[in-house]
Amino acid sequence: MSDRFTEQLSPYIDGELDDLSRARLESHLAECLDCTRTLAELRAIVAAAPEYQGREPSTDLWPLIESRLGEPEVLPLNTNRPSALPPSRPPSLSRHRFGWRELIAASILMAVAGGGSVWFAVSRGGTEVETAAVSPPPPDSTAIGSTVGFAEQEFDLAVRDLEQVLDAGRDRLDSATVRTIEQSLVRIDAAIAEARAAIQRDPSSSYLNRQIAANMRRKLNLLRVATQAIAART
Amino acid sequence: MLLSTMALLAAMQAQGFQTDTTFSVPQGTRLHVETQGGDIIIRAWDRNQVRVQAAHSRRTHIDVRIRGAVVLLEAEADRGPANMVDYTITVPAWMSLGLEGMYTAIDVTGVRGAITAETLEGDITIKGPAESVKLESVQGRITVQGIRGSTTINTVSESIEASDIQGDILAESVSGNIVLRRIDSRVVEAETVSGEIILDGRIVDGGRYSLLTHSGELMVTVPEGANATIATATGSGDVRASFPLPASERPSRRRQTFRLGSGSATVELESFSGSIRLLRPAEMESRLERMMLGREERVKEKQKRPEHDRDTFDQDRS
Repeated sequence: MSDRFTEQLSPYIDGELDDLSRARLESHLAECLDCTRTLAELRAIVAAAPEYQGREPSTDLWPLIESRLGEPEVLPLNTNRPSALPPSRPPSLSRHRFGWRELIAASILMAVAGGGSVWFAVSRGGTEVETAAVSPPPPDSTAIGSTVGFAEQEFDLAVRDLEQVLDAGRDRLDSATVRTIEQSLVRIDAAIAEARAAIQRDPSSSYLNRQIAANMRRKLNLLRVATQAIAART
Repeated sequence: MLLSTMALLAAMQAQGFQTDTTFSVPQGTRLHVETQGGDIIIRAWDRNQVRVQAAHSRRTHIDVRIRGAVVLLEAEADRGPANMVDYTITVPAWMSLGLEGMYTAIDVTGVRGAITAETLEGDITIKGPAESVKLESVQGRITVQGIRGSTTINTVSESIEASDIQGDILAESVSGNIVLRRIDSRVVEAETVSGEIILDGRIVDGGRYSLLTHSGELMVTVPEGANATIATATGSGDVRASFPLPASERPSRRRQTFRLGSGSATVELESFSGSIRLLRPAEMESRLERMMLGREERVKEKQKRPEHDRDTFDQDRS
């Protein structure tokens, strides 16, 4: 996939390319499966847009995320840094794992991507964009507590975005599929709630951190799969 | 590379509006199939040819597009995408596959190339020496056997069963059980929210094995002579072994660490409210056999029930 051509897909859909650019892009599309698929996905999003009442995503979040990822306070609890386990235990070789704070920070990325897609869809679809729900500005990166609160808020917004798309498009999916997704979300929410309650009593628990992080990631993934399926059915 | 796009409107056969077309492909070609509904059955042969047989409605035709090293199969109806197409496709054994369907069952046997498959609703079954698989389904049971390379599986509500796997395994489900049998992998990671996880196989020196569930039970085979550091963490569940364990290197009941042999492999077992069981291979085999028998009986029971009762049956079981 070529970035140059990828950037032209949106104007192509809107009929904004000149003849030469359009011909070049169409020639490229005949050869590039990735760009063809991206074009199809964009078209699906545009088609789905009129049913979604969204909000404009907050911007410039990456510097905050990047800085948070570099802070020792949010390093994964299970990587190669010195462990609380006895020295005889070999360092964990497990793949990079996220603590729940880090997961929330990473989820902002998804919020941006998800919200961005939705915002893109809404703007392309001509639906009025609601801009009232603008996220607060990022706090000072040294204020860990408030930053985490900010990140959690972004996570919640991302989830809300995706849930709204799911609500708007649920009739496009088989009722059994919708039921499965909703039951699974309930299970995940319950697991997150239980682990969050437990971590209040045991804040240093690495495995509770993993439980929370894994389930938050799982929830976002499930919502994204559901909304992608809705787009594909459009 | 000279790329071409070719649309072959395959000939309709008189019987059942079948498409049946065969074309040659150069080594290294990848096959991509997209469909809304219907089955995708893939079989392998030793020719450098792809044969596409498809059952579909009169208004549907199958487009075969060749784009560089990719053959793309798509069903189109006179008005928009086709709904139901049943594919039976025979491919060169070396071929890599990308299979996507909304309401689609996928069954692949004998392919050595890399396989990716996604369904919204429908089982995925892969048997054979694929170099790697990446499989996803929301409402589909996923079964893989005999994969040589990395195995990545993600499902939401149904079970995952993987057996005779040699490569790294990453398996994830929300409410489905994850059963990994006769595994010979250096890396295994399995996570589920409310399902059980069973890991049966070799613990390779220096390997790492991580099983994580919220409310399900974990069962792991620990062969005699294994060199592993087993770290367990539970909230309200307990840890039991069918063989003598050395004293834990950690005093906590909730978090324990047991060193077996040199301890070179890392085994992390975590369940918030489920229990953890460590078993010898023969004991695990016995349990798995009982479990399989029980499942077969449940399937038979389900099949006996009228169609409209089955959803309720499934809900009750969940």
